[in-house]
Amino acid sequence: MLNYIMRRLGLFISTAFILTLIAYALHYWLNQSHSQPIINGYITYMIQILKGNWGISIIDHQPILAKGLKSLASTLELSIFAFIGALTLAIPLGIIAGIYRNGQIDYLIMSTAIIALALPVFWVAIMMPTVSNIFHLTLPIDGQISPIYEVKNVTGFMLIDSLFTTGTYHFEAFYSRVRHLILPSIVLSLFIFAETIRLTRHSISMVMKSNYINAAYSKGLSTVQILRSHVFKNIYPSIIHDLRSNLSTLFSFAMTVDIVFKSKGSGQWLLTSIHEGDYIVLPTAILIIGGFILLSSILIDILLMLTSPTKRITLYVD
Amino acid sequence: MRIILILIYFFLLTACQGNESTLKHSLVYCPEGNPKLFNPQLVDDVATIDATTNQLYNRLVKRDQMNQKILPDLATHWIQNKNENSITFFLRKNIAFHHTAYFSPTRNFNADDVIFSFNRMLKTTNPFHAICPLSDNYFFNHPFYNSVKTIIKIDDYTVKFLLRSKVQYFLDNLTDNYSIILSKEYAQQLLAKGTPKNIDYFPIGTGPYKFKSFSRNNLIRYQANTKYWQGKPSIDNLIYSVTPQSIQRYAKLLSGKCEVIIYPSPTQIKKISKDKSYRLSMNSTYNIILLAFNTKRTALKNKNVRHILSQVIDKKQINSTIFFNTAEVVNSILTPDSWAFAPNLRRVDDPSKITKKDLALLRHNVSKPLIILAPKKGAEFDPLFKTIAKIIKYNFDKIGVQSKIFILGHIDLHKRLNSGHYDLYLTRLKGNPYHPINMFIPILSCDSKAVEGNSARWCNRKTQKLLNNILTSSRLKQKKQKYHQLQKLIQREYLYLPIVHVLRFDVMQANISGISLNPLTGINFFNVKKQGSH
Amino acid sequence: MSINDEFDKKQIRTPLHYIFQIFKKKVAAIIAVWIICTFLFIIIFADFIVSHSPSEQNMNALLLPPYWLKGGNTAYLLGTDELGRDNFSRLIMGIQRTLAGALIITAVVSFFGLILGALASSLKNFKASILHHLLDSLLTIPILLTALIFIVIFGSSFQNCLYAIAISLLPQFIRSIFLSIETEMAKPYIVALKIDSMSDLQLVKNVIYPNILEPLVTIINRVFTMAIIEITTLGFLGFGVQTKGTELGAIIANNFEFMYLSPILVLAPGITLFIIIFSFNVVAEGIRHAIIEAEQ
Repeated sequence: MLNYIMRRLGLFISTAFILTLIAYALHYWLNQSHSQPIINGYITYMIQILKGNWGISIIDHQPILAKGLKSLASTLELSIFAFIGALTLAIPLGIIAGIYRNGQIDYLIMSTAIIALALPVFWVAIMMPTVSNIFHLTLPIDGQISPIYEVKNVTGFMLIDSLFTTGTYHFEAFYSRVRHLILPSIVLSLFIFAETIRLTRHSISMVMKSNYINAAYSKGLSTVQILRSHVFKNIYPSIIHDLRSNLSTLFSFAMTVDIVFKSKGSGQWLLTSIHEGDYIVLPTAILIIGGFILLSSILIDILLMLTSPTKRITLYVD
Repeated sequence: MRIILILIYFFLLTACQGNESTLKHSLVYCPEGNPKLFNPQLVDDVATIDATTNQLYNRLVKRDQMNQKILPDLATHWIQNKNENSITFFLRKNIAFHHTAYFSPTRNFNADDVIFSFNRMLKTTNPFHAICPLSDNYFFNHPFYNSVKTIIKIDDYTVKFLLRSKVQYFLDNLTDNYSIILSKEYAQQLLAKGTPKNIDYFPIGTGPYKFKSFSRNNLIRYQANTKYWQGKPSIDNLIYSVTPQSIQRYAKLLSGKCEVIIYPSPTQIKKISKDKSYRLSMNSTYNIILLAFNTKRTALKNKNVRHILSQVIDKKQINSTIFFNTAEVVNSILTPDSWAFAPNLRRVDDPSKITKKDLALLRHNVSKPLIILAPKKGAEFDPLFKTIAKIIKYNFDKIGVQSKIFILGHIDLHKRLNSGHYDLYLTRLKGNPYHPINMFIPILSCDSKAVEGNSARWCNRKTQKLLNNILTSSRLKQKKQKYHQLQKLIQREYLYLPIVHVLRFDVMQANISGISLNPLTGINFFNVKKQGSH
Repeated sequence: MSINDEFDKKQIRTPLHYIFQIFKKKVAAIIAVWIICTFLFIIIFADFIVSHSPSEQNMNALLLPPYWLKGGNTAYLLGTDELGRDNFSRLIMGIQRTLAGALIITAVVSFFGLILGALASSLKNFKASILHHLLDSLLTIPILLTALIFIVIFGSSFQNCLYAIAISLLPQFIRSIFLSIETEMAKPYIVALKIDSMSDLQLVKNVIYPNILEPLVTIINRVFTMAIIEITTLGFLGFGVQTKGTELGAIIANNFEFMYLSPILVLAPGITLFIIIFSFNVVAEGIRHAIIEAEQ
């Protein structure tokens, strides 16, 4: 097992190294003046990166690293919310569809999933305010939090930071943040919802076909009992694993949602910077976002390995 | 899972109630853009002025909005001496500067602050004169540049200005956005700390609100100045939530997230004016949208070509299509309410008058597609520029003139303006009804670069002379005549085609009152009142 | 009955044929196929369908409602936009541009992806390791970010958007193909074939690809869906709009401002987009099911 973790770590280091090479190539291309040879330049670049000097934004003279991390935190909050919402709904539906495979219910659930997948994210996002207006929901349609509340940046996660303001606003700021997350996370959850239904259904029907389930049935266990004792244990690693391989697609959607809802996340950060000609964000974004996705994939791998050692699916090379 | 649902429900319920006191004493205003900095001495775009002049600062005198009379502000009264051509101000006592996290004043406002504030603009030796990169060349066009000889401190509360210009003219200047009073003590502290630039980014003034924080493209926070000499404002937290898209601002107004917004989408103005839960206010901005002809380009060198192109641009259509008739079609770069406005300028646009000969001339001169340049961001009317450019292109297409539209962000735009690689430049010009000279010099003078305003790249000895004459002449009638000549010159030579004068619209929720607006000094939240909560 | 039996035997000659027979029985999929055919027809004959040039402005007919509403005009089926351009014509030209773009990307990515995927699975040791590490790191960069980077480097035009999206979708495709090949390679019958001294590339071409049709359909469908979403997203964000034509995402962005005045401006292109993606997904699902059933 230690061997497995070490291999993951090795993978992390080598992949991260390639990421820094890509970032440096971009940095090199964006900087017109090249005072030193490429290899020396890379070393100086890396030293600066490791020291934390990632550069200063030309727009507002703020350190780029801090801005990038803060926007990443905002996108993460959104994604986590969307994940929780989508999974709580999609897993039960996927299980039902898997059990009644090719039945009427399965048809209905799968159609919903395909519809959810086919809705263009940005379009749903711009329609959302109108939709919520029709149902007379007064949910906020943009931004991170109501500007009335002044929340100091402590962890970067607005949800947590807003809890530090309970002295002045009680829980108002926190509620405001939660309310601001609702519409965008609904939009973002569509994709996760569809994917999870598909994956759960697939895994369930695979597991249900297998011999040991038949054996369990013959022992006289009910479907619910079987689900509880055998199926869950066997399907969750593959669901998590598949979602993990979709992380970067998911992040792409999260950025789009974030841009439309102006929720101060990675997407908006990138877009406004590019529009204002602050291209230095691009290599930074590769390092921050790419690094984050890499790190979380590997952590998920190790976690999966710890919880279910038999399922050692390797998406990445060893 | 059930717990999560219950929790969410609980959040939704309680969140609807809101914290009464925070809501009641906060006001959210949604402007279109970021202020460039927090000092209206240096820049005069709507966003900067709205965020500074009336909120953070006071001036020596101010103008009554109703009868245009000049009223005391930080000066209690003043005496004019016609013979000596001077004016003496007697200053108000016990006026405190803002006490903030970054500055604690040890003394009250006095004559030193007045002298410092004006000398920053007038004297090149002042350490703060050239400190702001945004003010490159700006001070040279500054209306004060030629009007003040020297400023004398008579005692702590008396200041005398010796003038070159007329006293009345100077008093007009003092009511403008750039005549605000800074704290000399704060400036000296900054200088000692080695961070003099902060003076424009962390402002200290005497106004009703004090600066708290600013994050670009996001928020500006102000706090009520509890020691304000005219009384504390009724709002504790004044918040500017920067929202560039008009449709977004409108949606935020409807959802209650913005309580006051600037420029609702022109498509919504009719609807809002009928809705009783909102109030709409309309004001002049002195902002003219104009099209500059690059006179150095081969295609446009010929005056007649510029004439024909001006003829086909349908200004009325632009006004109806884009502004839904909420703007004013103009023929001069000055608005009709200015004293220097030339009333007898003729209308240029009339496509029916174009003859076959004209078309032949166009074909002969315009061989390549014309490049139409327009700014993307940073200007107040950016979503509109693109559509205006499209209409102009459409007008050109009709007479068979090819054109290409380039909508550029400010860095690329500056590059292109500097290189001169454009034919037409769609832009806006901020006018000044009292001192038109500071709009004519940037757009006509040989020394002025395209980025600074001379996007027609016009340089002509006669024009230069005319500009100098205005600067030196002291008689109003003579000046007026010269200004008329300048406006006619612009029309005769087809350097700039003024298209429309944009009016400013602000919408506020019906329970908000007491906001006043002045085209030159911007919005004023001092007297704002908020009744009940919605 | 006996005649029918013979007929069936003649018809079902190849596995593909057999799959097609099953597919034909799926009603939803067949409807979707017809919808797709309609869209393909639109792509090819767009220039003949449109009644107005998409950039033709009519200043006397601004923001008209669709013809079935009060104030509508049959000359403008779906009304006009803020410059008096015909919404229907713009929609048709938008479909042409967006869908054709997505199809081209799908074709290009599939072509290169299949080759590179096969190559990746036949590489050994050091070379394979380098290739996979490179893929791993490329896969950690979200598609939107990759696309933005390429647009900044090459400039913002519709063509460059297509390049950018194709390049950003390629690593995912290669990785998925590679994984499918690997799983198939591990199966016993392949091992047997290997012992028969078939070369790896031959194996992939002749044996593996036909046997991984099902995942292949899913992967290609995914590329298409992502391509169309990314094209429209970039168009919506204002990249690639400085070209002459129009594109569905750009139409939505342009009409966004007038959503409250005339909702059709935003609804029509959005729903069209949805129908396109939906029908392609339904067809892909149909094919997949047909393949699975055929295998059984």
